[in-house]
Amino acid sequence: MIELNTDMVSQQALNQPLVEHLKVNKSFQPKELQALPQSDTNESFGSLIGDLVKKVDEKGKVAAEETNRLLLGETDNIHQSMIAMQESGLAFTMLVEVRNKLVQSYQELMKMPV
Amino acid sequence: MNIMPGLESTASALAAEKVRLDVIGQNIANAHTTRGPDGQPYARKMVSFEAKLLEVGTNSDGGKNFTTGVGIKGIKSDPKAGPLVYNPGHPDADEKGMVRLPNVNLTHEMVDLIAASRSYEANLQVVRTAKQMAQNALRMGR
Repeated sequence: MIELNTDMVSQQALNQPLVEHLKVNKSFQPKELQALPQSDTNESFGSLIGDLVKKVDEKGKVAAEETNRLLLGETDNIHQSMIAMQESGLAFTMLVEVRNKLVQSYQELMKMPV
Repeated sequence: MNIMPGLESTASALAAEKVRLDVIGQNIANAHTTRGPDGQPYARKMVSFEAKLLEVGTNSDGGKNFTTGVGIKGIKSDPKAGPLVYNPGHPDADEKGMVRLPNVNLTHEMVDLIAASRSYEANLQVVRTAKQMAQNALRMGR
């Protein structure tokens, strides 16, 4: 029984960094909105979207790289390449979704009677 | 940006299951090998897994993110002796005509094969579900 307990403790110790991280960062909770930043020339709306596009593109490149390595025979991890592809696909869907929302709000504005 | 979180541990489990499948394949392939490089009959190999901490990038505060993945602890040979059969015409027979066969039990290997295949499937299901969750979240706006 004591041995079983020490096993449990060691298992818990393995998960400790994850638990600590969750406690400290509370990443599972929606973050409170901080005060809106003052209009900063570096953080324009365009650069925000540009960053998003860049990150999505990065994911696509990672997926292409993984697939390339698989097809060239440098690795035999099919799942890595598939997971990377799924991830880049999801990121792209996310980007399109953001774009749709923006266009929609623009059209709402345009429809506003003056 | 991590759209499907928690997949690093699943990916490590998939890689580990692939190693297990590889080892089972070796055992089945050598089920009738009576002589290895050391002159002994083939010994059945067993793979053992261990939980290990994986570092998965950094979070927004610059700290490191960790997850518990699967690693290969080692591949050990089964020390049990295989069955001894009488076959005097065999090139590896001793002076009494007995041949030591490998300790591979094909039935055991098939069961292990099923277990490995099912665990692989279970991990794939995790990937599928993670993707579906993200897709459902994206569909929230419609």
